[in-house]
Amino acid sequence: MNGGLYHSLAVWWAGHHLPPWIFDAVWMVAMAAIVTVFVLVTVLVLVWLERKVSGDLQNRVGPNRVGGRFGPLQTVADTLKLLLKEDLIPQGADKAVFVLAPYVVFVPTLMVFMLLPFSDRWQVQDLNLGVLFVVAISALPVIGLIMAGWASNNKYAILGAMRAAAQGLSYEIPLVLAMACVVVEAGSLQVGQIVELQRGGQWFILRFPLQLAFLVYFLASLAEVRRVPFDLPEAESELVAGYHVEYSGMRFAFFFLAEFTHLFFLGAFCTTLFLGAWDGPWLPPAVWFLVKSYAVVLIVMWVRWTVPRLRIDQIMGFSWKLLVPVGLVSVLLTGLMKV
Amino acid sequence: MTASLTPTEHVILNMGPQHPSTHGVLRLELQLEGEVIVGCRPVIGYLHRGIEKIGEARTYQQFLPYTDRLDYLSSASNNLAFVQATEKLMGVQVPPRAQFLRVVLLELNRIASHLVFFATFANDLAATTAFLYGFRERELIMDLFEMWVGARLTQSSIRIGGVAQDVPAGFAEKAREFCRLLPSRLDEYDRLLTGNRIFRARTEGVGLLPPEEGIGYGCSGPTLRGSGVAFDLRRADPYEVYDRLDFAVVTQAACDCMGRYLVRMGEMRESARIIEQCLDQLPDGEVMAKVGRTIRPPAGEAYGRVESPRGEFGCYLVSDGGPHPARVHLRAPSFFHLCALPRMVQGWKVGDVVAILGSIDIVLGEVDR
Amino acid sequence: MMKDEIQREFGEAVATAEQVGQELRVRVAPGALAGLARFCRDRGCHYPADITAVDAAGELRVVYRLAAPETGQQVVISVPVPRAGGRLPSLCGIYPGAEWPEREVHDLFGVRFDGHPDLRRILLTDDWEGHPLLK
Repeated sequence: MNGGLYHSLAVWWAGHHLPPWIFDAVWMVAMAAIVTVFVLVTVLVLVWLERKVSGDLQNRVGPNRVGGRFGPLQTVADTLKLLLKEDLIPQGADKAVFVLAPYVVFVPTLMVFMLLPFSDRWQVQDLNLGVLFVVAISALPVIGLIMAGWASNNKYAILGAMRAAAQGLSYEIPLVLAMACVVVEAGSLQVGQIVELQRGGQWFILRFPLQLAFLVYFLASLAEVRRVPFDLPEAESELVAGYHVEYSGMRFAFFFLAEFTHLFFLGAFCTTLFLGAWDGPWLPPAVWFLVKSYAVVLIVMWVRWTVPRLRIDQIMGFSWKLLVPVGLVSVLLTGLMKV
Repeated sequence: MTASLTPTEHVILNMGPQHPSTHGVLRLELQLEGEVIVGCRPVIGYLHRGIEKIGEARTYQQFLPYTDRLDYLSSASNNLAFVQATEKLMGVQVPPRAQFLRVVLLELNRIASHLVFFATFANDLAATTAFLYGFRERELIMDLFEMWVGARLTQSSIRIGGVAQDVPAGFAEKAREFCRLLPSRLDEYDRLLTGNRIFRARTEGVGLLPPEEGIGYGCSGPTLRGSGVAFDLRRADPYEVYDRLDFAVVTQAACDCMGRYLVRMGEMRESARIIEQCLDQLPDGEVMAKVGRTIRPPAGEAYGRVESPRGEFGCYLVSDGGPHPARVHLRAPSFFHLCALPRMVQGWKVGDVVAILGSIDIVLGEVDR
Repeated sequence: MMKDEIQREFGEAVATAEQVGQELRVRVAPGALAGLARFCRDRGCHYPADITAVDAAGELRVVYRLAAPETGQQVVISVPVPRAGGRLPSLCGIYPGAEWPEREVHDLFGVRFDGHPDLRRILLTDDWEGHPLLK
């Protein structure tokens, strides 16, 4: 967290003549712990939300037993179940890579949370290369997917991994282009600056031509999170579970965790870039941030349960033939508007 | 074939026998070059129960419930094919009320089967919500069956000589209510799925089956009518009271997955109309002809054919005058459609296999018997 | 009528030919099968409704049901074959849909079809011994 708390604690610490590096280390661990706990709780909520929302759209109830009428503890029960399952590593699998893959997928997804401005005073670290950091780190999980697909020694897994890699790479470009529009508009890569310029209701989404950028960002993010209609790498009805078909128990839980973490990040970063982050009247800023992030997440869920999925060549075509040109045009227009 | 500097091999990918989208225990050996299919070999027999052999050791009444389990999504059609063959051999006259009731049962089965097609086809393409909507409507039909026959899926209600049970009081109203409700629900499906850009991208132009090839492979039913061939046994070789009913044979000229899908969606509407007509014209009378306890058809052979939701379902019966059939052979439409599948998936991608297989709507129960 | 045409064309190879309702039931010798099938197809019966076999009344015969969807005409061809070592020409070249039914007849009755592209068991496991539907 910037400002106040860090400095006052650091001063207190220094006042006791203790080495500052210990304080920094403790601070970092504490921040990581807080963010991790937040992410875990958020994922619990999101999984429950997904099941309830899908149930509602499909004319049924969703979880309604564990922890009361609305089944809020359902995910807790499911997670416990996953943790207690037998740990299977397929014969012929590349053990080291197999074991490492879930972490390669999850850790970068978690790392980018340090840039999220939960409120005007709550942001773990406002790097001056903020957006670039997000772009760079967000590209890493794809490596984990390929590792998982390869190490599983399973054709379905490899097929899923190949699709994931192709899709992930293809949609990086429009994603970066959309984010570039925001950077051009804000004149800075720093997240704090981007948010500052949207204060008082001047959200970027209200400014032409950033609506285009928003659409491109939204669609490209859907593809990066691998949600329907872009969920081919793990297409249940075709590849059973795609790249993580051989994973069970705790390791599978990590993939699942990574997916929902990324989903929340999608909503949160979209809010940060286009919807003014924590900006809003009456309610506390952190509440606004969560409300807007969850709104985006709900739209993503709505899309997921409504439309069918695209085939891999259609997904690639959509990116290269539509999103990239639109992205380029919107960068151009944004630049022109700034002149 | 173009020569390549890098030697590559085709990948053999087994879809099945346990797979969410093969609609039963079916194994497809796919030869892939990347994502493109260069060869497909279906392997069947995982559900083979020896029903034809069993038929030779059962009486005709005993064999009837076995026919339910062939195309289990539309058991009345299977029942009727067998019963029709037996009645042809015996020269039995089915009372008119029973004939109308049989048609009602057949058409309700058709709607139920097509709803399962709609639901599973949508689910294979990840439109999970449509899956649940389809089953919601199907539950209404299951309620009707339970009310009338007692069983939801394997009815065995069409017996030799007529229908086992007459409709209870209140059935006609409930059935009419369902027929009134169905078109609006089908409109909902159209709004949700049929016009969707992604659905159309996955099904239009995919899995082409030219009409002449379709006929040469022995395809029938919606699979063939989706290629523009207006071959429907209810018109070509009418049975029961179909020659007195007013309904359209739905065809689509597209020859692709979308064409076959649209044929089935249109057929559901026509079936609702047929049911209403039957309920309107239902005469009074017996529901079962006088058929003895022991059924011994005279020696000879007969072929009963029915337009099941999947196509021509036939029962070839050879009798030697004894209490057991000398030979009972069941002609399953899905068997022939599956034979045509390798031709239809050639050159398409793995994702398309699921769409094409879903669009021909097979049931392994009748393929394997 | 078709019955007369067939009897004219194939002479003694046709043992019996009778019209029963919509079915034209013909019994032919194995040698005339391919020619008769082609003959029927050229006259509109291009739909292979069914190919199966019957072991009854003391003999094994393979039954071909060829139909014309437009007219409803069916030609039912019965070909007697010996129970052991029966061989018939495959009709895969005339009707692509004959591929699997012939495999089924081979699987359950043991009849071999010359010229079939892939004659293996279809319903039973590959290592099954015997042909169950023979009496």
